[in-house]
Amino acid sequence: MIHKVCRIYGRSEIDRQDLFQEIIIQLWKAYPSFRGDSKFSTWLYRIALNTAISDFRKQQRRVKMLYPEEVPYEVSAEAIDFTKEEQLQQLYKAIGQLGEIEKAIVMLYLEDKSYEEMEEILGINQNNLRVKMNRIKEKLRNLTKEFEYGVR
Amino acid sequence: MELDNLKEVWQADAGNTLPGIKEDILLMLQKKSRSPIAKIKRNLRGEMMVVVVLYSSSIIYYIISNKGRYWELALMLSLMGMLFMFYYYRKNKLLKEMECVTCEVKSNLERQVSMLGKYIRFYFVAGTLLTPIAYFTAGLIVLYKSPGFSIAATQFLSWFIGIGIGVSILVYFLNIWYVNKLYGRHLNKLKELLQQMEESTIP
Repeated sequence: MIHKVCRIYGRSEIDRQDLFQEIIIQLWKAYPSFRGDSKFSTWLYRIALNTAISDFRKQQRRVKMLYPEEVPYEVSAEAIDFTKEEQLQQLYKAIGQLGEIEKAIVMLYLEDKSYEEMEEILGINQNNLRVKMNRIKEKLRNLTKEFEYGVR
Repeated sequence: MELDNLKEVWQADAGNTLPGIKEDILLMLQKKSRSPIAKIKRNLRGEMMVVVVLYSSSIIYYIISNKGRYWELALMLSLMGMLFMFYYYRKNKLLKEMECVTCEVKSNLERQVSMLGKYIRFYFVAGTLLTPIAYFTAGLIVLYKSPGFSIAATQFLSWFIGIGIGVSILVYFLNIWYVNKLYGRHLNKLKELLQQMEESTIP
């Protein structure tokens, strides 16, 4: 799970490693205060996402740098038959275009978390989450269409 | 590409391209946190150490030099030093309260916006007030102790007051610029994130 958070929020391998390290440090520091009031996974997601979302200074400075894995590429129309790995790459690429909060919502959705648990982690009420999720789905649909037809 | 169809692919992916070996993690735990708040805390500690060293040496100097003639300056510096210690204590307290990584993401952001706002206001007010207070107090002590000083020397006194007002105005604007440079972008980004979370459900 931590690896996925890093992959979503880190723009480069260095960013991901830094973020991974930061999440591990925060988990280590917070562990003694874990009382079991919430599920362990909820507690873990809160720490990982709080760290990833708040730790944006360095990432912003690196936004203008292009890393090989970020260089936009065009997928030809023939390549419709994606393998699972390709689908995953496309998904990560599309998620990378979303806002910081949208990334967190979509990740929890893909992890099959209920709206109730998402509310517990993010603090956004369930109705609002449902509306946001519909918008995100639409956004991702458009983004992946753009990638498939090489619009970007 | 439908998101719901990708859940299975997503969950099958371990996302594992980063270190996970026990030794690597133990090594990471020995490193310092690089979060913005941890960095501010470290800077604050460094700043406090500099102030402690400078003020202590100045206080000792004024006590032993000139046969203790300027002992009032040593006293004033001690008071200023105590004010600085309160200043660091308050800032450190605000920083400690600023982050709650185990809280809901939204409440953590709200807490950060509120605490950082308080921190900035305190930084600004204290920074703006401490300089003129130190200038006028130190200046008056030195003038009072100087041989031949007379309160009737109005021309000198008006220069002293004029410079003091000038310095205060300069420090005021300098503080606005500096505080904004240090924390402005961070605070705006936090507010922006919070706004994203609070967006109305009405499209």
